[in-house]
Amino acid sequence: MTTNALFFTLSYLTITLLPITAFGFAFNALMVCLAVWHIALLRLNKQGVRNAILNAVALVGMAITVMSIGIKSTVSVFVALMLLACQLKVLQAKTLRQWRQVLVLNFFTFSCAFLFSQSLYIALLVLFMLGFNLVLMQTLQHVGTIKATSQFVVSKILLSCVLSVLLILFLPKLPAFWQLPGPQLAKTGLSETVSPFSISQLSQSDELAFRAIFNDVDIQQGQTPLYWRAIIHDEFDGQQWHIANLQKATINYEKSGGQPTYSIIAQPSNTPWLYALGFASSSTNNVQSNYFGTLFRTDRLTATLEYVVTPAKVDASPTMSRWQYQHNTAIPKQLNLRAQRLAQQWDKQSGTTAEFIALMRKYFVEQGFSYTLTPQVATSEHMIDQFLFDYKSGFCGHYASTVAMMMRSVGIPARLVSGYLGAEYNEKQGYFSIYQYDAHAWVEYFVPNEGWKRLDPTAWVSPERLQGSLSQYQPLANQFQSNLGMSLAAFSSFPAINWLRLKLEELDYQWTRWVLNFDRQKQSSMLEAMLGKNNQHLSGVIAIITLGIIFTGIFFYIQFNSRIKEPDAIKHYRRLCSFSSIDLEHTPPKQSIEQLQQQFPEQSADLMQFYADFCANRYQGKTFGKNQNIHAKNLINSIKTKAKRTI
Amino acid sequence: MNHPIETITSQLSHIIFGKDQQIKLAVCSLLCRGHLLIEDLPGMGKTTLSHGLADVLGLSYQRVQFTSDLLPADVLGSAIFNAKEHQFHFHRGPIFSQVLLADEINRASPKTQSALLEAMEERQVTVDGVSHPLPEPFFVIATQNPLHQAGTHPLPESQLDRFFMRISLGYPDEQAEKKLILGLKQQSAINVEQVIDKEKLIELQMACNQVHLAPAVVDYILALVRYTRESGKFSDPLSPRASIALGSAAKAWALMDERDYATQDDVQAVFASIAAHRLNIPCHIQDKIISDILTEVEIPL
Repeated sequence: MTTNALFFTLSYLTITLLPITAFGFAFNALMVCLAVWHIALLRLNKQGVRNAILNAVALVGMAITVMSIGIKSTVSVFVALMLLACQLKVLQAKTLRQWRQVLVLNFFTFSCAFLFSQSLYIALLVLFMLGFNLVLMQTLQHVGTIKATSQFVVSKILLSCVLSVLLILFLPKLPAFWQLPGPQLAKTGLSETVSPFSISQLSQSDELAFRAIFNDVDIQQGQTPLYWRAIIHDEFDGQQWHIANLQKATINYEKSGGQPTYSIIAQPSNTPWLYALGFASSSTNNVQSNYFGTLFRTDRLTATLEYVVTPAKVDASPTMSRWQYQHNTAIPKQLNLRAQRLAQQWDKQSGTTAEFIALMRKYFVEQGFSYTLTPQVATSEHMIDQFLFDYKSGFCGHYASTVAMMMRSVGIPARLVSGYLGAEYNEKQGYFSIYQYDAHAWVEYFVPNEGWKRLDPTAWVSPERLQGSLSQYQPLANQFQSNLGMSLAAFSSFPAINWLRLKLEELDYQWTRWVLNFDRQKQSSMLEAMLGKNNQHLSGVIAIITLGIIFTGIFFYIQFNSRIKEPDAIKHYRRLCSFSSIDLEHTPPKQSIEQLQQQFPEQSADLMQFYADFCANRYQGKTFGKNQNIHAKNLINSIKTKAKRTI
Repeated sequence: MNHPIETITSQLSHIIFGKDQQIKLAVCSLLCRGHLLIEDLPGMGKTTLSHGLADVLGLSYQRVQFTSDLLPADVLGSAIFNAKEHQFHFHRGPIFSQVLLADEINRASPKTQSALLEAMEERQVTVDGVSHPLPEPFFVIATQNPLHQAGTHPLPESQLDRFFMRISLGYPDEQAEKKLILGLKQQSAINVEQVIDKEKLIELQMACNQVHLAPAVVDYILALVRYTRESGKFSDPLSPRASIALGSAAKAWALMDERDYATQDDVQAVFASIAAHRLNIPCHIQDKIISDILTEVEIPL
């Protein structure tokens, strides 16, 4: 029982602490306290806590849970309550019946971990916990050693793995009957409003944002550095850049045939925004493109999603409608007057937009602006003025906001784009990984007759930033790593750890690609590849065949298992008798052996020995061991050669 | 070490020549605490064998010659009025001995035969509502003439089933008969020695229970029994009592062979004497029918 109790407590704690931010500090602390209490009770050899105490703890615990998580995130609250209930049940459990309840409940509780993460490691962890739960269930029900039951359980789990692979591959995937709202925990490097001036430390996360797989190397080469567009911000209120109103307006682009495509596997971000290079459209269901050429989904991304991106052809609109022009040049006129004045001064000096940009660039370079992840927080309401003339250091958001604002102030339509810059390339598997710390912001400005153009002012002050992912950017490495905190990426300067990180990354990629993202589309294309196209009832037929195969398989498996395996002694005896014309079914073993002795007098002693072994095994219940087996085999061989010779 | 059982059989072979198999079966029956029925024509040595068995085991025995006018009270005993004490006293009959030799049992009327019933199965006698336990060990060794002989009453089936074994001696071979003729004079002088005592016998009976009866052998016994029930060839198939008897006889046979495990051969060896009388097969045709059964039933390994 102690093993059980300890295991349960520790597993609840694991599930609580894994998605650490989901439950809040108070709940985590509560669970740790309960675990410590329980372990202390176990050390004192006490079992079961009085119900009155437990009820009190439960009430307090529920209050803490709701306070810690809030009622908005229903899924997290209910999972937390379940964990709390299970933990209390373990504390209470005294009778066999209560232990059984806990064991059954665990199948639901452990699986809750999948609500928060579906990575390979979590899957393995949950599988292990469920497996051990099964082992404990077995030992509770039947007497047996942990080792023996573990073997039994592992064999059953392996069998069910095979079954589930078959089911996943061939059983048609039905759309979800009803969908659970995902727990709101995804961290994203992108937000719908960009307000760089109020950030003192750009918190970086080394979580994966998405992966990109190029079938055609050309696309990616033509686009270096890789600017992954996600959200367009075209409203500036002096403090923040707001998301464009048209961001969620669907526009169907003309699909240009024969265009090379690439696919992206996006991690759950809990936002609808997706990523693509340049202007793009997608042929994947539920993935739509908007006026800006960025992709989005109709609902929030709560699970990993794989989608195909086709570069879209956007006609360079020579002009802009009046309201569009106004929208893209609007700024709060009374703020940042110094910056506006400076821009107007440059405007007078330059004739074209390009010249204007060159002047801006000259200013940033000459004034010694620098890139930092830990900028000073703006104190006045003229935030851009303060950045431009006083602080002179910031990250991408500062530069992009400033440049866009200044262009707008002189009537050049400009907007902010947030997305990701760079990628980590896995050479062996040929895919790009883009992490949250690759999040970036840049500017797009409009040139009549040419359309929207990209401008990355951050590159003026730190051109190295364009070379690739931030993780490879040396001058900022210290800042970058201190902002990452404790994670493998923070130690990437050690080759061994970096190697390990990349390996784990690769494993996770395969897991995401082939297991998590095996959706209806992939399934049907796989079936089509296997069985040819244009079969309307294909999936139904496949499903019936698969289920048929599985059920026959199970039937034969059960048949096979229920059949008593013939003991070695009998096998050898049959083999021996086959050398003579003995009627096996009607001759008792002793007479058969005597008959064999007459037929093969040389082997008489050996036959006698075999008969003794046979009797010991069959009639006295002793084991037919290794030595006996060897002896029997030798005997069979010698008689075999003898029998051949006589023939 | 000379095995006690071997001594018993060798002693018995001094008085019955050339019938080792039958002697062994008779001893086997006694080891299983089973009653023995010896069926044969007159003058074949039935009585000699039963005397010898009682002598060699050193058991007290009484002999009752069954006749058509024998009454149950003559076997069991009766209450006799004691004039002095004005009370009835139970006077024990010949059945109150360790071995009852019931000679020519089928000459008695069915009423008397049935009187033996309770005694054989329950090992006690009830007269006038009072139970009297029989001594331990208690065997009935009965002899009977073949049924076709004049003046015989067939034993009821229920009683036949209570006999553990039926053996038949059959004619001796030429050598043995020659020996018989030559040794006639001394026959009265030859008396078998007692080789074991009561305690030793009980010990041997316990040893029989220790013999290992493997599942394969049990399966074989079941196969044989089921064959008699399902083949439709027998009007009186074997009862569960017969299956139990087969099991214990096989064990005893193995013990006599100085083994601590029974095999299918042991079952085959005792099958005829255990099954034939229960299946209502007359002695003179039993060999063929029994060997047919044995060849037709598969031997599970």
